[in-house]
Amino acid sequence: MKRFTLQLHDSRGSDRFDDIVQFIAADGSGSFGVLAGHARMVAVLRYGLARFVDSAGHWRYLALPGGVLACADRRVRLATMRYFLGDERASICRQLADEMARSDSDVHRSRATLSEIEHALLRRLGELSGGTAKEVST
Amino acid sequence: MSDRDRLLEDTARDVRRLQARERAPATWAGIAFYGGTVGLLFVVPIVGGAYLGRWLDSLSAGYSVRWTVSLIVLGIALGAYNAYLFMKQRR
Repeated sequence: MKRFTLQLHDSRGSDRFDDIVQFIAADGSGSFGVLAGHARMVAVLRYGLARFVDSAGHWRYLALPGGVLACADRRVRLATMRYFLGDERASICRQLADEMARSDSDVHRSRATLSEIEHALLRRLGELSGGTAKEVST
Repeated sequence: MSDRDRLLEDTARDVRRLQARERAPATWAGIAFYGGTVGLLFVVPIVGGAYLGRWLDSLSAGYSVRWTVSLIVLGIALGAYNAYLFMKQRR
């Protein structure tokens, strides 16, 4: 059975999967599959689910907000803003929601920290300017 | 609709479609095609073995079915293996 390498790239980094037999995704015209030895091509994927299987028959599922798929020389590359990888199709939506909630929480925490730093900075500036005013008055 | 809502919704829709497609009953044409292919893969080596064995037996002096029987048995094994590989690949 012919195999190919799948490389996934997003804003966080990249993942590489060797030994892939088939990759199935969907673009504006509908669903399509890529096998090893496929002719060179580029496709713009739509929002939704993509999936791929390795030679052991293990399926993995990708939830992605669109992306660009490039296929050449037994190598398939997928570039997207962010992808969510899961082993179970039934739970991929829950994983996706959890991951988004976690991401929101991180952003919220970062904003809170930034706000605290800002307040501390302003307080310190106020203290410094108050001290300078006292020195001038004496 | 925000991008993340769209992603969640489109992913859930794709999952539902995939599950519905797998649950959908097979069509008669699909069953006939699949069964016909498995049947051909199983039968062709047996028939081929029988004809080859009969021809080889006809070359030998006197009455003999040694080659015919041997090649039919070999054909059964080969056909079963072929059908197994096909079904495994299609699963």
